[in-house]
Amino acid sequence: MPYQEATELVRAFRQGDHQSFNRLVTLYQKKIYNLALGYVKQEDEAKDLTQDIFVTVFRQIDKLKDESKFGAWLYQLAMNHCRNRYQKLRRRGFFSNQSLDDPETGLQLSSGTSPEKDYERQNTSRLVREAIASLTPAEKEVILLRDLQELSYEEISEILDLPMGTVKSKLNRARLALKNRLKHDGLTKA
Amino acid sequence: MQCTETKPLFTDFADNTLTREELHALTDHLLGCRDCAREWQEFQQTLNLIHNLETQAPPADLLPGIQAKLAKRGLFDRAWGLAEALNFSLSIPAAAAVFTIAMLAGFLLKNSPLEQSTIFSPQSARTAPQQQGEIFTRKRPPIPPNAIFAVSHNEGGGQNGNLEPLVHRALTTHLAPDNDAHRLLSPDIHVLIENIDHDSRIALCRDILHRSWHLHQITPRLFLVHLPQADLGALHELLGRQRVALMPAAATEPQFGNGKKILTAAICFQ
Repeated sequence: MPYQEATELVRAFRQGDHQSFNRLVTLYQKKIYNLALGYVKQEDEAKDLTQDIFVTVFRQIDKLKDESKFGAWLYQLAMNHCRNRYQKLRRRGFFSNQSLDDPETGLQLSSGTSPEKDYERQNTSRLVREAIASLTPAEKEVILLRDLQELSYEEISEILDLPMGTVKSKLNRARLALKNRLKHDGLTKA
Repeated sequence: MQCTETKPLFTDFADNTLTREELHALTDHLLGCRDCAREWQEFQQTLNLIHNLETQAPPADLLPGIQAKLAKRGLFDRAWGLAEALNFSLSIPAAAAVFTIAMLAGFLLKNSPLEQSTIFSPQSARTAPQQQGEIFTRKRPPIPPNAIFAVSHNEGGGQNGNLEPLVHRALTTHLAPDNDAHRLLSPDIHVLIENIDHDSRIALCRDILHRSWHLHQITPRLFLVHLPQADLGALHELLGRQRVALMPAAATEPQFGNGKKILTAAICFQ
């Protein structure tokens, strides 16, 4: 996590340099976009969600007390947005309407590998993402933050406002739940 | 170590954060327990699958989209900022006070004896409706000077000048100019009866009708009575039972209105 750079950008942004905000977006957009994608699974929704998150950052940056804590603050804000959007979409039946034929989940060939391997890799990736998406919100959060965002336990503890021991035990239970789902899908075998 | 004790340690085992004792106990158990060994193997495969997931690149139009959303919200923000800068806020009591004042002002304007044209634009008040073909409404007739109405008559025999405008206002407010009673807009006698209960009011009306005087109800609280001048004394008798204000003062005399056959009295119940 580029802490120092982020802290300087936040400071400059708060002093009126709007270009610093654009650079902050560039710095974090991939992580936040993938976090959003882990929740809503659909690229257009993830893009819209990510944009809303950064719009909120722009509008509420004055509420950040410690500039060096921008990363944790951003993730807290992003998690709240993701939870709210997930609930909203679920109430609308958004997830039950998604199918494997969605263009976002279709096969994308990459050069240098055979189509069969591309298909197998992307299919496995899709199944793992779907298995993560099917976890409970609490399980999904810790998996996304630790295993996909690669945040430290300290950072997750700060973001979720939980003791580190609780974070670890929640993560272990979430991984075991995911293991059982992947086993059910035939993706793991002894 | 029991089988149920192994799974809670898997994450710490993967992170290599177990204590030496926990590590020895777990590895010993996994070497001797095929089921737990299989669980651990599947756990490791799960971690590999998650960690091998490729992160996706964000769409190229992500930042322009953010800027567009910010620009869209900018107008609202500026309006809100202006409101905040003006420190514009209204508590519920303050809002209620403003509303009450506005309603009172409207009521006073509507019932003002001044011509509306003195308040609003003379041109628009007088000519605009006709020019635009709208329905022309008759202006409220001016109230005649009433300086002669000053004497009251009641049980105490005292004077109560405050009652006089009430009679006038009641008459001018409730009598339509084109009503049959238009000619009675200026009755010979004004009577204001205070603190009369419903039964007494009914009894008074019954007495009036019993004497074959003409009684017209204008509103529930305003009546017109036509009576022969010769019966003026009888009217005084009826009114003498109540607390009344009578105007003009001369009307208390039996010879009042000698030149007329019929007198008109406006009776207002307060």
